[in-house]
Amino acid sequence: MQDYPAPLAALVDELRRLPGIGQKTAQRLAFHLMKAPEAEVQRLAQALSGFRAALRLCTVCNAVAEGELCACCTDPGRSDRTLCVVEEPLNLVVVERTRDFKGRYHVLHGALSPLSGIGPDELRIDGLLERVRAGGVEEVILATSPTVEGEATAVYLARLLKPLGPKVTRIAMGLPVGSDLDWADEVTLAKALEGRREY
Amino acid sequence: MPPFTSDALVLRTFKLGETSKVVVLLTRDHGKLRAVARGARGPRSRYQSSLETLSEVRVGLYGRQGADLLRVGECELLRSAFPMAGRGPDAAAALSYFAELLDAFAQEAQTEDAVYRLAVAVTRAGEDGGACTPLARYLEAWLLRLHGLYPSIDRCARCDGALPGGRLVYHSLAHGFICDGCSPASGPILSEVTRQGLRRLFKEAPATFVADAPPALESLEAFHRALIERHLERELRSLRVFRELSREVTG
Repeated sequence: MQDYPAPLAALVDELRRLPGIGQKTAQRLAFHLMKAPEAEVQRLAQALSGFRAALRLCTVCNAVAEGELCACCTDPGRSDRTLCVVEEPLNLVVVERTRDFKGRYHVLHGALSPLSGIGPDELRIDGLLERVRAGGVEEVILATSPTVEGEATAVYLARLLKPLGPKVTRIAMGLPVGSDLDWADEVTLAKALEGRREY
Repeated sequence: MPPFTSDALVLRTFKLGETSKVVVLLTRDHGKLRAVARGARGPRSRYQSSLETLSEVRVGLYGRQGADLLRVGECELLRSAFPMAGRGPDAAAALSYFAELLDAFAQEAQTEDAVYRLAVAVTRAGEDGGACTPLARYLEAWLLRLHGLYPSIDRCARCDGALPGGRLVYHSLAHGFICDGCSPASGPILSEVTRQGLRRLFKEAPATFVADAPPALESLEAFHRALIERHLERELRSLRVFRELSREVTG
């Protein structure tokens, strides 16, 4: 990065470290920021420097929170009887967008991934078991990804949770809304048939 | 490079950008290749479940001459290993271990039909419900043998004489089993039952072997691990998780 002045080169270097951003995109973003109004750049800088200090993980469910507890854990309108287990905090936001789930969450911060050296000890499973052991949970919904890693995690958790008493369910897998049946592969279609329901 | 189609096993995928994946494939006709599957992580991916670990696919690949990364065109799922993951966490971990083992031994763009056929046979045996631990020993032994790394169980590694019946005595410097006259041994000793198990392993198809796998195979785990690590000069990442989960499941 010898072609640019040092501050600009440093910004490009930092931006390209972010996931999904390569050299060209980093340069484009850096030049956009150079041309942007000063106030806009200041807002971005403040947001970047402030968010790490202001955020932490919820002590109950491990979601991202501003205080000790996240918004879902402090919401009195939510039911304690249903727990939805997700891999990452971002997955919680996606489930929330459905506006259909009114229970509580538990975030594992990953999935079993032998290829990445991630085993059960690297996931936040103990807290989940404690919550279920404490009583009051009637159903645990395993909303891990429909991948080999997500499926392995779900099967592993089901084995641990079932002896503790709650009903353990897995989110359905199958055809996306708006897709064409002709293009579905055998695994997806088999899962869709397996998860069919009566009208 | 002109576009071509080959049967392949998906060994591994890495995230690329917002919606794509880099796929590591063990192809039947061109050995190990890397290719970009554009949009594979998108909401309407045309690849669907075909890029999951150890899926058997018929894949169309194209790219520039000499390019490190090819592009994935059409990708037809021939057989999915995904249902194996649902059998249990140990089975899912086994899939990852098999894939990492194959990835570690396969050379880029070097056709190894025997390795491909082995990989397909082992994966199918696992999908059909074969026990994961003996399958792992089977894959390890055959991969080592196909790459000339498994010591002979019939000839002495020092004097080349016929090994007597009974247990196998390993000598690490000679990198093989030795006879009584060439003792003392410096490595592990494999029992006669384990030796008989190895004979069966090298004769039978994986499905037949794991259907009635000898219990003495346990002693092969450390032996194979040492041979593999000596060759690769590193430990495989998935092995620890595979061992942990297998032990948890079998109690």
